[in-house]
Amino acid sequence: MSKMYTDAHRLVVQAFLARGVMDEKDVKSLVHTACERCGVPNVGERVDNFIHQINSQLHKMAMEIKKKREEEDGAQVYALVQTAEHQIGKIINNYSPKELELFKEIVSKVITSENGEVSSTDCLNLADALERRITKDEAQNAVKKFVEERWLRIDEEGQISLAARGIMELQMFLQEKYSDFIVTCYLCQDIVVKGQLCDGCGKVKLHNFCAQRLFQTRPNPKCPACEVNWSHDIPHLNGGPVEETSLVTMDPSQPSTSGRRKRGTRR
Amino acid sequence: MPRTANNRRNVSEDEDDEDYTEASQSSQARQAAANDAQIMERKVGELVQYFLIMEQNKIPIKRGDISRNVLKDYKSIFQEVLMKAKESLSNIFGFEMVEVEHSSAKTKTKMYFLLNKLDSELREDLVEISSENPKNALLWIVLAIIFMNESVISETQLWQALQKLGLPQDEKNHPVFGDLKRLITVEFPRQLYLECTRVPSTDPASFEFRWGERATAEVDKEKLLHMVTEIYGNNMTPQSWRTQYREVQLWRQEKGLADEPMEQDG
Amino acid sequence: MEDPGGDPNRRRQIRHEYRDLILQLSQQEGENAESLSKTLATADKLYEEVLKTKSAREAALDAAFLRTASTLTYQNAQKLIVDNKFEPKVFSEKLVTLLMGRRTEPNSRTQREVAIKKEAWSRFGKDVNSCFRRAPPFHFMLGSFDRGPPIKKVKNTSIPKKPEGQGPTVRPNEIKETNKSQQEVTSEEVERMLGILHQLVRGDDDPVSFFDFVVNPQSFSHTIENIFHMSFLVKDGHVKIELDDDGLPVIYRSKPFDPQEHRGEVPRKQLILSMDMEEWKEIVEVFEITEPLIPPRVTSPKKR
Repeated sequence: MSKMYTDAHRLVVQAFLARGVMDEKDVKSLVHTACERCGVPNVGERVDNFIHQINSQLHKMAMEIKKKREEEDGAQVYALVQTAEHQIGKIINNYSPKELELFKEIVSKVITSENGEVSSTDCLNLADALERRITKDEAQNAVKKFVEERWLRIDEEGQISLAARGIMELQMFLQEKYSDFIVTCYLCQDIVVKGQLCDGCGKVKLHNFCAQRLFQTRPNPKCPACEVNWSHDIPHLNGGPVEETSLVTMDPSQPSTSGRRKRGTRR
Repeated sequence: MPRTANNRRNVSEDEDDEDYTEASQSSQARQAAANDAQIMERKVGELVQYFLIMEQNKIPIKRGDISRNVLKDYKSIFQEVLMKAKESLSNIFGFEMVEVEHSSAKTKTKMYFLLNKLDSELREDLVEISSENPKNALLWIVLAIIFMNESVISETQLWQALQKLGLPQDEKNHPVFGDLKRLITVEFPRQLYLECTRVPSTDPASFEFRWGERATAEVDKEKLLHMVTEIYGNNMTPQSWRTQYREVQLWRQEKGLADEPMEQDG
Repeated sequence: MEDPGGDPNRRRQIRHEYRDLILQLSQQEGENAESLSKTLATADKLYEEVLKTKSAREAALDAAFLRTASTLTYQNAQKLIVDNKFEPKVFSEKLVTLLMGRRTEPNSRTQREVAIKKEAWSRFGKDVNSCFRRAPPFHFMLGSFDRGPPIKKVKNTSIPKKPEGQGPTVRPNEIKETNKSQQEVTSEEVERMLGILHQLVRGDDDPVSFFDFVVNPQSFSHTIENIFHMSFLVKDGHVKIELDDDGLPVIYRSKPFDPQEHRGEVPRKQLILSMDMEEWKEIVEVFEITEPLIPPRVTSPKKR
């Protein structure tokens, strides 16, 4: 084990085990605190580098700390996810089999829906359609848990969608089971479930935050492929232009862009 | 793999795997398995995950569980996989894998669970699962009562004390803890935090509680005594409890802390 | 029993010192707090050594010393209560005071009055965490349920363009439709229609041609459905239908009736609209409707 891997790294891994998913600012503060407490030199802005060091160890365990933006508001989150589908997975879980079945059906509905979202009423109605029937109450509690643990998101109108953690962990499963439905964002090439689809060609789909980035300065936004006027509202997330960051991997073969992070946006 | 009578797995008992595995797998297969680094790596990864996942409900893992659920066809490399998993758990996560031999009425079983190697001061506020806090509070109280009562307490006495905390023995729907009796007499013992034994020759049967193997491994006795004295107040110090203090000294000795300064009184 | 370690001479000396201490204690009555404290401290130090040597003899002497010390009664409000007898119930009382945050007479509390709140348990649990060396577990979703077969969708027209012919172009596909009641489907469609209308108009004064809105040039049945759904919107006040200057029906977005405003009965009007296939075709021609403003609901989702 390299000398680079310290108790601070272990502390950060443990924190991820305990919490599952964390917002970017919490991750930064975690890493800094961990380094301080363990007498490790401060990493400053190179948090992703630190995370990458952890990932190089986690890799063999089929685990990884991934990073992604929430589709709803573009907020950057990190999550410790499973990367392989073990048999062990079915042996024990803090969710009951009934709850897991409900989750599976909700995911199915969300992925196959037009907008990448499903009303909570529809989700609760699923309770009756399950093989293992559950009551609406049980379903509601289960959905509440899923939202609390940030596998799913719910908005003010009660629409349920996949949260970043859910997408990060299930990505492989989604791409293989729902290959006909999975689309990648025209701009960032990452999977997009909830976003803006071009009305003209029906081929170009963008994350809300990618749409913002692409169109923010153009008065008459047009679809980059078919040139039809972009009919969707261009969002103003985080009160300003979206920063340039490395959106995807923290793979050592790709140059780390974290050092080049410029105007950070205040949330 | 030829089926032998030992293949039948009984969940409630554990068997000593060694005779079974080494005899029934050919040495060729064993060799192949051990040499296949890829399989080894995969199994180690799976075992590590198995440990991490099973910590969810804190029930220790039996050797048979590992064979059945993780190793499956590769039982012959058990020792090696276990060793490497232990290493990874320590190096990557900072966890110690503990092996205890648990004696129940009929059998002795090898069981495994995880401990945290990182000091509690390092982990403070960072590695916390707040949903577990209430149960931990209750567990701590029970352990403290047992410890202060010189390591053993009768069930009757324990419930009398808990009653005073608004936790009666017959409460099945406590708003915070649910079925209290089950928690104390089933769940905590299953997790090896408590040991519940029957007092011989008593009729009707009466029971005693002691610390279980997990508690013995996991709990910092010095900190516990320190907290108890804080709760008592009255300018008491840990030394005010002579016998218990001796016990802490003994514990420190065993843990190799004897040369480090003891905690100062608050 | 293993042989004790350590230097036998030193061990003999330790035993000697213990005996001295015991003698010291038993000889002095009314010994003051300070000297007892010293004696105890000395014994403590000796015991540390005893632990290292693991010798039974010295340990036995330590026990004897303790017994002697504890049979002497020394009252000291400060640190010198020699041997406290632990009372579980007393401990509980102390805990209740701590967790309930108020001082009441211990004996006055009955079991019923003790109701420690969850927050208090939680906070206490947080405080005692440092006594445990717990490992946090791993939580995950991937692999916790069976995948099931891959879900394919039947390739059909994406956003409808040139129709192949008349008749529905939508085919049901393999996805098991959840048992949606017709009612639920209707209300969904009604909502969807409203949503589309909202996107089309810039305000409550912006009219949309009724026919342009509801007619689907590719599907007569869908056109009828749209009219049906429209009726709900009108009924609930989300939409107004009026005749424009050319005598053609137009629809406006509106706000649903506010019960506060209309005390008493809200006037209800009934309008029956009929359209057969011939009329539908005519309207499509005359109004030059080429595409439906309301994309048809598809049982197999559109390609995105």
